[in-house]
Amino acid sequence: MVEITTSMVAISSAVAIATSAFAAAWAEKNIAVAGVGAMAEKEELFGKVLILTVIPETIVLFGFVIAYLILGLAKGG
Amino acid sequence: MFKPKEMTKVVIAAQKSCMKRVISELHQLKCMHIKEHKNSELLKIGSPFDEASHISETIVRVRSLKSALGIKRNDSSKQEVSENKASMETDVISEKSLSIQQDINSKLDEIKSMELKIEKNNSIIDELKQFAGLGIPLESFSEYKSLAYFAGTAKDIENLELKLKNITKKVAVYRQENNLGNSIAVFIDIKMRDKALEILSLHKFSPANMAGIDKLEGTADENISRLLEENSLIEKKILNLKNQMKRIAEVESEFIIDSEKFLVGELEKSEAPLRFAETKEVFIVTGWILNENKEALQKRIRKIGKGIYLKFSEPMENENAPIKLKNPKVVNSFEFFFDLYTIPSYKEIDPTFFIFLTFPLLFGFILGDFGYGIATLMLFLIMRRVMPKAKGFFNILIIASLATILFGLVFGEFFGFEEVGGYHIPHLLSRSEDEGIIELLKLSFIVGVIHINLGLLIGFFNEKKSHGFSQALFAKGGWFVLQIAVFMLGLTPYPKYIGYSLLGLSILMLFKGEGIRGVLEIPGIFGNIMSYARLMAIGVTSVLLALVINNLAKNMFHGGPVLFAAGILLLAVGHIINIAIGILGSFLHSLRLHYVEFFSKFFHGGGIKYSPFGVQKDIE
Repeated sequence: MVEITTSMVAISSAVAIATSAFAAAWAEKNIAVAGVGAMAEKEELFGKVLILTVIPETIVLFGFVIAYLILGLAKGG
Repeated sequence: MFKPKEMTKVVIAAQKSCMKRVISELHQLKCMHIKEHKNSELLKIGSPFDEASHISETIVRVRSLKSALGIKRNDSSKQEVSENKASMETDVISEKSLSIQQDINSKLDEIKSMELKIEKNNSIIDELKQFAGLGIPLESFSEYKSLAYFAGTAKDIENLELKLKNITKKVAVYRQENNLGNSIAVFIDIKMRDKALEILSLHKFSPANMAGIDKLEGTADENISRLLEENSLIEKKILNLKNQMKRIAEVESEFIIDSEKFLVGELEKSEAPLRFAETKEVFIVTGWILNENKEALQKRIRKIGKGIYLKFSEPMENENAPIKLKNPKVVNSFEFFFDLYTIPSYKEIDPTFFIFLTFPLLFGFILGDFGYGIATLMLFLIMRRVMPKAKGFFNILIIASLATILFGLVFGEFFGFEEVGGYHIPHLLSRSEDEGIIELLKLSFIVGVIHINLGLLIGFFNEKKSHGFSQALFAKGGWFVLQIAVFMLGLTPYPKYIGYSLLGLSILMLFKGEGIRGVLEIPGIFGNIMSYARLMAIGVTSVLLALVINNLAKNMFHGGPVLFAAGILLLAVGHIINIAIGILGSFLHSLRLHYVEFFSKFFHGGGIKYSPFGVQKDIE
């Protein structure tokens, strides 16, 4: 098996969190834009818009957990 | 506490001749939520009373007065129009407001025309400035038989003057340097006019605009000072008028505010028939009242006369009665979260109390710092004083701050420090060490499991109430079985077949209870639990930021007095920013965990807020 160096582990962990953070941000941006538009028409929608906007946030949390698990590799291995 | 206040459906039917009295009684009682009638072939919507248009006209006038005079409602003024002002009548208000309005309008017109005059004077002054210092009377600029004149600005005037004197002797040049450049006035023999113009254009002559000043007499300077004086006089007059308006505002503000309140009430009354059903002879009002107001309503209606039909009935299965949530004092602040989203429907459990329990805990779990908790507590106590309107909101944050202090003790943190003055703060769990963070992550998932199961449990009871026990067992119980199955498969040494058979069972239950949607949502519940990782993640970022601030400042403290001061500044600014981010993050993320993860397990919402006829919404 190819030996994985510590630096490779660190980089892959960083990639995991960075890509998922970017994905979450991109998704949220699109939703928030539409949401603000909707709120301009109807202000009571704030609660619903907030919920829709934060839904993709889970993506970055998945990335975070994976990044953490990868870092665990560096310590364990 | 877990149910909204009980409602009773009311139907009132009477002859149209009683309509005004019925409306006025209902308006005074302030207890009936009127259900708007929808037009049908059998029963048409009623039409408003004739005075409605007169009243709305008057309201518009009163409101325009209010804005013209800059009157604002202050909170100290009485909430209700006092009873002895019952002598208020639309006609009286209409007349008085009209006379005030005429007075104000004439003053406003006067002010406007005077302001226009000032503007005009200023533009003349601008023109005059071109001739300032030349010392020529303005009346000299008129048509002559033998002379032509040029007035304006030009460049290189000394040469210009020489050149002009070369072509004729009949020339006079006046010049003056001022901040506009070189002003010049040339009087020259009319025969040389074209030649002079040629020379002038070589010197970039630009003629002055004299439209506003050609009728003035005396020198420019005299005129400027005269106009300035005139302006200051006009300004004094304007100020005087404005003061008069201020006095009117002071004297009449109570009248105007009370009138507006009164008129809004009157308008509501006169437009009330729009919410009724009516035939040629009869009108019908349908609506809801709180159970406790039944007797009062009955008494009042009976008082009007005998020919009125009044019927109470329990809400039917499919009827959406309006909601008046019923919660103890501290807990009811949390009803705010439903105003923001959607309020519970009549049949479901009112989850305010659960949010009261869990929201501050999640908030505290994320922020979790003794020092930050005390700082935010102070901040929100002050804010509650400053903004009494948002009292409920700040109550939530105050309770959340208390939870932050509590979790600060658990994590042993004070503004990010785990050691104060050499004394190590005891902690159950440290957020700045690796092992602590892993423990914290596990703890977050456990919190998630508890929270989501609490939601499922509430969902179980909701479902049981609306669709019966077996539906509740399949639709919500399936999730419990699923979790047990996963737990057995993953974390216990029991034989795998038990776990797998439980897993199969749970899928069948969910399919029976929620259909294919339930089965498809199975991965979702693990996503939901995973989502609670944010409890740890956001908390840790806040701690790390605090640590960075503290360490940077610590290094600066050893570098002399200037760096010492900078270090203190860094500590202050850094922690203020970190607290601000912390409040925002903790609030939004705990809110999200409630709205998305928690509510999706049981909450339907879609309730209509109980808003009784006659209760006015706040007038700004």
